[in-house]
Amino acid sequence: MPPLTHPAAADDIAWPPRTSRPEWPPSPPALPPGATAWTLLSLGSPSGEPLARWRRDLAAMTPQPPASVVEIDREALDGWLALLPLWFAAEAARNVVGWRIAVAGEERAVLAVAAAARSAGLLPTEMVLHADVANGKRVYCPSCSAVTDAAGDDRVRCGGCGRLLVIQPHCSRRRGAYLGTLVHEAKEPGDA
Amino acid sequence: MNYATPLHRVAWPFADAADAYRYSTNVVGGRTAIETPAGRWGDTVTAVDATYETVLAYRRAILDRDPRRCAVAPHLRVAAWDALLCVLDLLAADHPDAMTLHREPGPAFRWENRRSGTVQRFAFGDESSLPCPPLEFAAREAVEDLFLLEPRNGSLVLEGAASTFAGSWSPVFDLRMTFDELHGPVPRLHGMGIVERTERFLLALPPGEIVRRTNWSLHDAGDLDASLENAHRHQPAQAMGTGNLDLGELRLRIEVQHLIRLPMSGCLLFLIENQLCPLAAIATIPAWAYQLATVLERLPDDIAAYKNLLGFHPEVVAWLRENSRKSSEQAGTERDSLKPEHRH
Amino acid sequence: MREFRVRVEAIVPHGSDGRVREFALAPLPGERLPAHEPGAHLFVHAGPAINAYSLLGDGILPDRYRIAVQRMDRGGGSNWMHARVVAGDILTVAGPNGTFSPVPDARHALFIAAGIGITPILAHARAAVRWNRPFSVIHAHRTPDPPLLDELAALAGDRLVRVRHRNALREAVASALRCQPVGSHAWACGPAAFLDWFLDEGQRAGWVPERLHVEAFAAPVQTANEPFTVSLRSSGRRIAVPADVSLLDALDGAGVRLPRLCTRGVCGECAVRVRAGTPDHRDLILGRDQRATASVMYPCVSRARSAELELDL
Repeated sequence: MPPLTHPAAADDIAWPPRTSRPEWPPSPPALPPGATAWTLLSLGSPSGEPLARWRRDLAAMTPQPPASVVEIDREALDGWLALLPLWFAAEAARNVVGWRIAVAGEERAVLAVAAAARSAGLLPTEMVLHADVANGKRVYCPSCSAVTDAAGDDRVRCGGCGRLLVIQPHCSRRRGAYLGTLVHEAKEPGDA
Repeated sequence: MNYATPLHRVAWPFADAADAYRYSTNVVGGRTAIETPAGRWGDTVTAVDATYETVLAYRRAILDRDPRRCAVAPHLRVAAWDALLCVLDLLAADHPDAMTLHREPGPAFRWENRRSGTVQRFAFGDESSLPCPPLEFAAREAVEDLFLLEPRNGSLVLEGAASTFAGSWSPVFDLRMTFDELHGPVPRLHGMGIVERTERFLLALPPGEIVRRTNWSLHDAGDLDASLENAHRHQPAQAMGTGNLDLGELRLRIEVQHLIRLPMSGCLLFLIENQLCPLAAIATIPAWAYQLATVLERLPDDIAAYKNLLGFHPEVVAWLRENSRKSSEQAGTERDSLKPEHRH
Repeated sequence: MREFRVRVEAIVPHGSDGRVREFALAPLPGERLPAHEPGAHLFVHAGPAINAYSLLGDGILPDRYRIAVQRMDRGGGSNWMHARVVAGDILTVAGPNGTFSPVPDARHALFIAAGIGITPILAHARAAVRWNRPFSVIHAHRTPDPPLLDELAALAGDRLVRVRHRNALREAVASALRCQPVGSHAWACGPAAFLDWFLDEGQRAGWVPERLHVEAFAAPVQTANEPFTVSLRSSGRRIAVPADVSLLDALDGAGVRLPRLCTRGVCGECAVRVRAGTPDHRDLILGRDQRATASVMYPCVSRARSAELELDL
């Protein structure tokens, strides 16, 4: 049997290289028109700029859709994130199709909200995401499945099993975390 | 575990006369038999050979101790049943002397696997009629890793996995990713348009058609479970290539991948058979050793790193050339040439 | 697409005017009917035409296929089915083809059926009941005795809203589109003009296009045809397509024979890539949003907006 060909397989269009690491533009994206309600979130964002930008976008729409606004500062963020799944489910239950969200702030918080939004049934086109703070990543350990906050960009010790992990440029939106791969730590000289 | 796939059914992943490896969609129809210098493979979709019982026992033990390996998004209930039926149908069709699937009204089924000893009656769609979820049940009867890809908004999303033998990636981590995101870490693949093209090809695959391709890498152990979930159980051969390691024990790891569109759910089922072939065994087939050495020698550094070759690349090439030369001399034969009509 | 044969096991007229006939199709001895997704349709060789009919079942390992054919009185396949087919006959069919599929992770499914558009919606409702998925249905009909409504009512119970007139349908749909739980999807089947309105209304209600699914029964009225030219990439050969000849037939005449089945823009068999020029898409496969950027076209029905097209042939 000869190799299969299919119109889609014969395409020659060049495609830009990409990884699964999220890339954030320098300024927050504009809110698209069409939604009937918005929830805007600013989570540990150092500036009021994303919210201000989005409020201006909304004011320019006719009719102007109603928006609820959530602002959490850096210090309160960890506590808020712990309650996120319940909070988001309740927020979704108050709304109907036509509702969209826009989230700005620390990358780990933005990814966590995106994951909660997906769980609640929102599609990627119903979320505007913008990370303007990249102070640390959440790292997933494949050995034990724990997710650990990493301060640096390079390595972290797993908070679940203590193993040393290299942080890979491979991000799971669902978990809001990057993949860590095991570093086999050198034994003492003389060992096999 | 020190596993080696019986040589006669190794799915040699390099096309005839290929002396360089580059990514391609390299897809053929399922059940296309291929003759090799060592034997023959490809007549079946599922693999059941003399090592089946051993591999299946290992698979079941991993599933028992690490339930994370089997996960299906709850909304893919129909796809999981669709996949179960597909896998059991394939096993029964490929190995009728050992396995049978009887259909009864309901619809209900009676599955009999005389190799594993399983006899199970179940009702389609009724979770209480099986001892475990449907995709897991399928995974406990076959040695292939199983993956479910759901078509959504013009892309494919990995929404189900029953995987004990993944090669250097984490199916658990990658669940819920799109096809594009999954392949993020692979160098050069996106730049060539292959991921996008492959995804479009798969999205257009009609139900009933089975397609197949192969993939390969190198591993330093005979453990089929090369997943990141299992990485902590391996001590890496100290940057492969230093004196202590017997390079002959390195494994060429080959994936035989089959893809099928499931009719009742529209999801794609991905079956991956993982084969391990020690370099020492490859050295006994001079044509293979020669070809592998040449492919590895010409492999660009970034692809070499991805295929786990970093740090010992030249040593492996040298070893292959040296040992295939010895093997040729011992056999007193010239280098074999593969027949030109044997294409992968 | 694989063609196979089935035996007509029974024919059931619906409604007092007999405009709709249901055909129960059985496999040939020793064969099995292919399983399929709910909302899928079957291509049936119906005398002068090959028509697509939605399967009424949910596709889970079916013993029988059921289709409902509305007689269109245009001298085409539906009339042939009504006048010529009797129980015991063997029909040639192809498919099933699943292009109007469920979204299993939808938080709620809103189903909308106008007239004979009830057929795929019935399949969807059946699947939703089997797999315990939340749904609601709006059904519009003008005749007093609508076909298959009793079956839909038995499945849907109080999840069914029935309306009689076009305005009442649009009011009911517009209202429903503004109160669905986050994560819902909507499926509509009916005349093309209604579906266009449905897509527009959905977007006005804030729905992103990915949540709106339509299955058309007949293509909308086409604009007058203009002649055009196609060139073939491999040879540079140029082929003239007169105003009254389809691109598919013009290619046949030039010795370039593409695969085909339904020849009316539904099955996708004749798909060809366009490398240059602007197609005039008249098929029922590409979504509205896809037409502007699609590089594939279906020459059985589609033509050209530009004077020339370059095809990847």
